[in-house]
Amino acid sequence: MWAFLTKDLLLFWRDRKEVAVIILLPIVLVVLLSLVVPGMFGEETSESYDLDLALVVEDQQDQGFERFQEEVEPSNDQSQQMIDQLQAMPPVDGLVAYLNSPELAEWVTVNQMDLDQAQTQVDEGELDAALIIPEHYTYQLLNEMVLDEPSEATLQFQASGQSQEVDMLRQMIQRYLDQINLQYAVASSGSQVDSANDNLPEGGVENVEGQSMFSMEHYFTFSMAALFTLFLAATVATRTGIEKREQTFNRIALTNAPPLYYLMGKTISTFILAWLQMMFVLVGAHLILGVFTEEGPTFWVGLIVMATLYALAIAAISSIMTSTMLRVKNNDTGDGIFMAVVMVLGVIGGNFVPINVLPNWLQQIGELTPNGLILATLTEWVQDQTYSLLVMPTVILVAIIVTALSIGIAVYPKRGEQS
Amino acid sequence: MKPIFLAQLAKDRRNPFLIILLVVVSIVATVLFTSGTQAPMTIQIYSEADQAEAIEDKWADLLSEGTDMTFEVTEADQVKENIKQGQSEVAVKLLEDDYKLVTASNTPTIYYVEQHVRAVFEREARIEAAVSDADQQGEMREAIQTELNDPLMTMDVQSTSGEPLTNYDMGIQLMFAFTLLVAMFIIGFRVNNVLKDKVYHIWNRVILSPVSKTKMYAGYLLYAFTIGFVQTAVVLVIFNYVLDYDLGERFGLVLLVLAVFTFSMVSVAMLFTGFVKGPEQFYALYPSIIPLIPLISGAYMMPGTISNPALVFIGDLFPLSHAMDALVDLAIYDATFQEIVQPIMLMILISVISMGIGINLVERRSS
Repeated sequence: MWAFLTKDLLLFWRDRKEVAVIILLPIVLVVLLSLVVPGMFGEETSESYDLDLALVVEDQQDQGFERFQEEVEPSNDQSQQMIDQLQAMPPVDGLVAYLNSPELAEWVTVNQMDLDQAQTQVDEGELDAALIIPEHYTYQLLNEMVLDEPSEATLQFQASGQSQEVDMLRQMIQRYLDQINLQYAVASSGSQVDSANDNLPEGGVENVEGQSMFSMEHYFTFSMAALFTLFLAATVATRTGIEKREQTFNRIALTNAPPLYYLMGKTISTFILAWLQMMFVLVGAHLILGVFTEEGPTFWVGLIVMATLYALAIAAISSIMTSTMLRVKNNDTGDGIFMAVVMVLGVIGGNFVPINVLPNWLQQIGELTPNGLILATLTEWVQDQTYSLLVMPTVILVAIIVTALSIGIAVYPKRGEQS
Repeated sequence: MKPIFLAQLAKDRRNPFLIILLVVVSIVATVLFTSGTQAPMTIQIYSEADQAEAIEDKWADLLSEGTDMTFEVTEADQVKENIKQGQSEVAVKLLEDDYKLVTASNTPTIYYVEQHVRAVFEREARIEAAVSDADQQGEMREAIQTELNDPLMTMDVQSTSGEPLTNYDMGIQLMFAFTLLVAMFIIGFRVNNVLKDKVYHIWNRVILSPVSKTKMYAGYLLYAFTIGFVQTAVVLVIFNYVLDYDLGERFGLVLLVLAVFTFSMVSVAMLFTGFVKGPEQFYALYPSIIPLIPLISGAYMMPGTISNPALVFIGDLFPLSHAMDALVDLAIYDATFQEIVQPIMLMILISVISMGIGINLVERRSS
């Protein structure tokens, strides 16, 4: 059997460039994904975003106040008081000041310009969006506030299409408007707005029972390690096609070596490669991204045990594929089936997209695939290092290994059966 | 050219399993994922305070107002279990007038949820503070609520021409992304026939025949193009006419973009063929690299999510990002031909370059 194992390892060694790509690709992927996905929100918003907003002020605030004062003789003191108050803190000025405030300035650039210019630049994609304060806005606003006359005055937010940036800008402005509206609503009902923030909710994010966080980097590391090891099973089986084509397999069948040795050579070499790949990805991600810096030795022991079991399961599955490959007439059929199986397993195991996107019933099935199982188990293991968590997954993985290996051996062509 | 084309086609006629499978897979995957992402996000809420039920009832209503997220009261233990195993990303723990988001990860979703929850709690806190001094609290609260329902300052969101801003339909984008992803796979596997015929020495025999080299390549590539195009066209026709997706007014142009994309993907696959040693190596490398392209091109995310210039540049090297641009413009913004000329030109440019290098590499390897 050693001869067969040596042969398969030697074959991999001869193709070391290809093998290197397959083994290194997931690490590249993990690093890439970690760069792309996080950092879009939260603390790093200010650094990674540079939004451009055009501000078009067609409203003439002072004239609005004057016109309102001329047309409307304040009927009583209360109205006059309100007007005075508004003049001290005009709504349009407030909005402009908010947009130019230092904390927004870090990630939004506001340029004041006229309407035509703004629209042209938005259409050309130089600016993300334009906020237009229409003519007579202050005047109409005053009408509504003081005289309670319904007005049509509304701000216009223009963009050329929807996108992440446009949405962020819109929400940013809407937040300010909501705040003003609330203040006005409270004021008009006769109460005072409590500007002190004492009673505001604290909010915040907390962890389930204070365990350590599970981050996107963890997810990418585990899912890519599991997925590419799964790919490996198909790759090994596909390579069996070469040995079929070059009559290697037929020649081996003519020797007096027990036929199953061929299968065992393939399976064990797959295990070695799969195990190396798991280790490369896990250790690589740790060294490059520092994914597991906070974890102790217990964590690593569990991680390596589970990775080893997973590599065994993948090797067992590849034995089914190898046996199938020896049986099918057309290599293409085999390649097609393996590709489809790997893709389906990858999708329902949650390796392509986080599992919570999938419908519930699929999540249940997904946890029975070896790749879905290892992903869920390691997800939990990162948060909580209790050995009892690993018992069930170990049992299931061992069951998968035994079943798959038995099927692989059963399907392996008997004398005269190979095509 | 024709006999080669027909010979390749005969393989699929005898073994149609793979193509049918890929058509089915791309439709099923699309329907599955788009339904998953389109469905309103459900967030579980719970309270461990003394009057848990009263608190849960109060906030469940307030939180569900004015958002498409659904808030669902759930048992505390159940919530924690779900979070730990990654089945739900985030939950809200309610206190009397405060909240905590409970999560095990720091994904972008949490930011969205936090925004909404925070706004609701702050508004409620302000109203509460304003009302607390008043004599008739109920009436006052109602007055504030009425005023809020007809807000003072409002904002219209519109396009620069003054029309309502087209709602960005992520489902359509994802549908294109998955269809094109499957198309990239199938096109690659068809181009791989060149390598397969080489290892079975069919290639050499054809070279000895009167067929010219140009016609040989044309035959193989036309075959890969036809299969790829027919497969994607079938999928899109099914989506447009059977499953009633709105692919815009100009379905003809959609097909044109599809044809250009298929052609340029054939070229990229040809380039790939030039790099690898045999069909098995192609099978090992191609499927590992292809799934990266939509990720880098941002095909799965809202436009503008990927802003890193290096990644955008890498994404632009592949036809996918240009095809996505054009298709999304056509389906969502009803673009005209003039508006999609640029992505089409870029795709053609990519085809010419990669085809040139690809064939060159294949030829060098064979000599």
